[in-house]
Amino acid sequence: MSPESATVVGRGPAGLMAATLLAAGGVSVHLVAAAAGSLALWSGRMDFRGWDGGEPVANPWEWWGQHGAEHMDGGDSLGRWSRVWALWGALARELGVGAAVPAANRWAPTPLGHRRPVFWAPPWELALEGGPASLSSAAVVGFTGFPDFDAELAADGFPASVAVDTAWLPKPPGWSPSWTALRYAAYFDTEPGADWLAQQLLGAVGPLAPELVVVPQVLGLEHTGALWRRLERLLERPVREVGLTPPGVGGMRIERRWMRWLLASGVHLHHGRVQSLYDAGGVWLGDGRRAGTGPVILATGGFLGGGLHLGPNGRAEDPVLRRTVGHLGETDSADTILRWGLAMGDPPACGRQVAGCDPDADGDGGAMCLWTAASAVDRVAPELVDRLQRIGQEPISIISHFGDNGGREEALHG
Amino acid sequence: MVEAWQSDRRRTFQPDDACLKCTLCVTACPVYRAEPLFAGPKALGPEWHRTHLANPAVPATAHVDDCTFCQLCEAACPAGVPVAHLIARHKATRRTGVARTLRDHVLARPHLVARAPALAGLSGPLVPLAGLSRHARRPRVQDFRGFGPSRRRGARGIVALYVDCFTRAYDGPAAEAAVRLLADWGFEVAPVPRDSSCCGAAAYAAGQPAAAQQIAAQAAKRLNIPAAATALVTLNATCDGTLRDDWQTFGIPLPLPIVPFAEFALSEAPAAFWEQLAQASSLVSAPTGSLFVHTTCRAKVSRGEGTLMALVRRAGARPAERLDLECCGAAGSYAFKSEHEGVARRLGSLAGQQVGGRPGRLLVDSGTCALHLGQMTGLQPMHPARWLAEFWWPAPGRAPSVG
Repeated sequence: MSPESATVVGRGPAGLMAATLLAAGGVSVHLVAAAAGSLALWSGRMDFRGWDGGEPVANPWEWWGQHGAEHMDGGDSLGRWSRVWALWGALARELGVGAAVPAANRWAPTPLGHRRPVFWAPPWELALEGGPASLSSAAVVGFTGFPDFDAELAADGFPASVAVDTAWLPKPPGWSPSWTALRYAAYFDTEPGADWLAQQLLGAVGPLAPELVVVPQVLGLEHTGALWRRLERLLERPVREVGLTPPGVGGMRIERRWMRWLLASGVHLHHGRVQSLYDAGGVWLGDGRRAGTGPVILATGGFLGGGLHLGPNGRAEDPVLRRTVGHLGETDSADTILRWGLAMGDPPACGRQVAGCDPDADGDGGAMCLWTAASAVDRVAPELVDRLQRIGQEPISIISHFGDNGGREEALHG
Repeated sequence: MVEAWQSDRRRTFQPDDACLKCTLCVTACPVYRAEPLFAGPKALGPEWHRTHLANPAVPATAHVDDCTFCQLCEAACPAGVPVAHLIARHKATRRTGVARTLRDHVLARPHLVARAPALAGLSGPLVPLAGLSRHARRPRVQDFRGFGPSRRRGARGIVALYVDCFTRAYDGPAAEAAVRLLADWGFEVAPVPRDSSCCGAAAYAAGQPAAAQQIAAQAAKRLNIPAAATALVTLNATCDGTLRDDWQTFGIPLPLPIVPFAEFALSEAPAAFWEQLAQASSLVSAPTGSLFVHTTCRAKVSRGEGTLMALVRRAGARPAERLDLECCGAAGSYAFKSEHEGVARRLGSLAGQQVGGRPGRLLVDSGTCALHLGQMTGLQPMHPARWLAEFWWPAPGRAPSVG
């Protein structure tokens, strides 16, 4: 039932997920992209359903159980969510960013001192279980000269019942005002950088003896796991990161490992902008190349990703299908156009924008990427996603990690 | 036949000032992570450009020259900003001393060095005086000996083979292998240009865009591609991207598809070739050690990644491991310059850590990357054409033909 090959356009989380499902199912995948994907712009958290009408959702599994039929392709929403999250959980372990898929939302303070629901996050990212009473004290650590994370401000994100101390580390050797989170991460990937951080953290946090140590998301790019474990051993308490504004070190960690996995799995990456679909399969690129073969999945995002072009007259056009999606300001708001809903179109599209939902308000963008990627793959390779669920029947490494608990695994302690 | 020839950079507006400040270019930049003093592509490209337009007298930013011109920032940009090309303009505003200016003038014209290739062996006290790295491995002369036995009419028409100045002087056997393979696939091969000339890549990378355009214009005049040629096959990924993309912006577009050798092989070598090759590769005793592939940064930007892995699979060889590198740090003449030694080594050492001393071969289609990665990993670098040819003609005198 699966084609021999398929083409995925776009390398954000939805495009990579679609490519992964196809590649894991033995389909030869051509991944076409004109620019980087959006993973490098965020921490890599995957939301499920964070908000409902402005109120935090405690248990997104329950929420979808109640509301799933109203959304997207409806049907057995909860069963399908279980399968989709199980695939994500297996992939995350495969990529070495593994953390179990949680049974409910957790919460975390933001860098600006708010609280937000957190569903899936890598193990080094802060996600606290239960209510505020589950934590008695924390130390929030900032870096002098690093404006993206103000420890005092972030500390406001904890409820009053938690005793929060703040600590400031000095500027690392070689620091300049141009240092972003990525620069810190690159430095902490080096041996001298990791040694410096360990020493400074011990000096600043050791005397405070908090229950939890919170740092900005800068614990390396390639050697994060080793550094994180070293710091936890040294401080003898959990150390967790808070995601920051771009450049998103957390998303980069996932993306780099994910691209490596895809390229090692034989996925062919074509760099170029798609001009049109090719009748016999694949796409035409702007430079005249034909790229890819087989059925096409679009994961091109909105305006930024190239999934929509905005003309000077406000006309929003899908540049691949040459189809007018709406007229900005005239008959449609940007909000409507950004959710133009091609999920069930031909070719199928996937991504946070296509499900007719509002991820920015609802906090379900990550889940939308996963769901729509699985739906799009279902369209071009029927039964492949279901086949991937079966345990241990395929000689592909990702399969060997699938559990049979439907994604509802015990969460790592936050 | 391969359909590719137009440039993706052909646009209806100039996106020089379209930067959204999203920082995707910064996340793609390998130098930003390797050199703490390098301010990064966003600051040195579009942000500098805005400042420079307002006040052209503003001096160049320190360490702008650390950019390797890998162009991965441009490939990452969702707004189509020519980030690396803006940085090249930024580099052009630098002021350097006489010795560095002379060195940079020479290194920006590798075709002149290649006409007297032994110059690359410069040694002794002149090396530091000339601003050259003491440690970077230099190329050995292996010049292109021409057409060999394969200059014959091909049943499948004529293809031009772009024998770039580096390959012509220092990896002639790769060009000879390509000529023979193309002939065996049924093509009449026209190696171009007749003598060593540069496409302008080196000058552009070194921050001399005006010189790059001038050098390219001279090269275009000497190219002499036969009118009947159906494709220009390239052997060097850097020249490939320059010919396809930069020549468009120079106003000297080439009227035929420009195709990297490995891509042309996958697309055009007949099925019988691959079948016989798979047999040959199983018959000949394969060299011991692992097989690695490296897709150069410029190939990633201009085409993508996966062709070399596909070539290895198609040839029926043992699976290869891809070097997990963005830019290796060779970057044309970059690694030969004393002030870039540190960054070049830090970038290349990532490959060294991955290989971890394992013996083996490395498929790579850019001469200076091959040199640098050979030094950093201990692997034996090899052009894909030479690698295919070694299976195809495993012993002297054996010359199967499928053409």
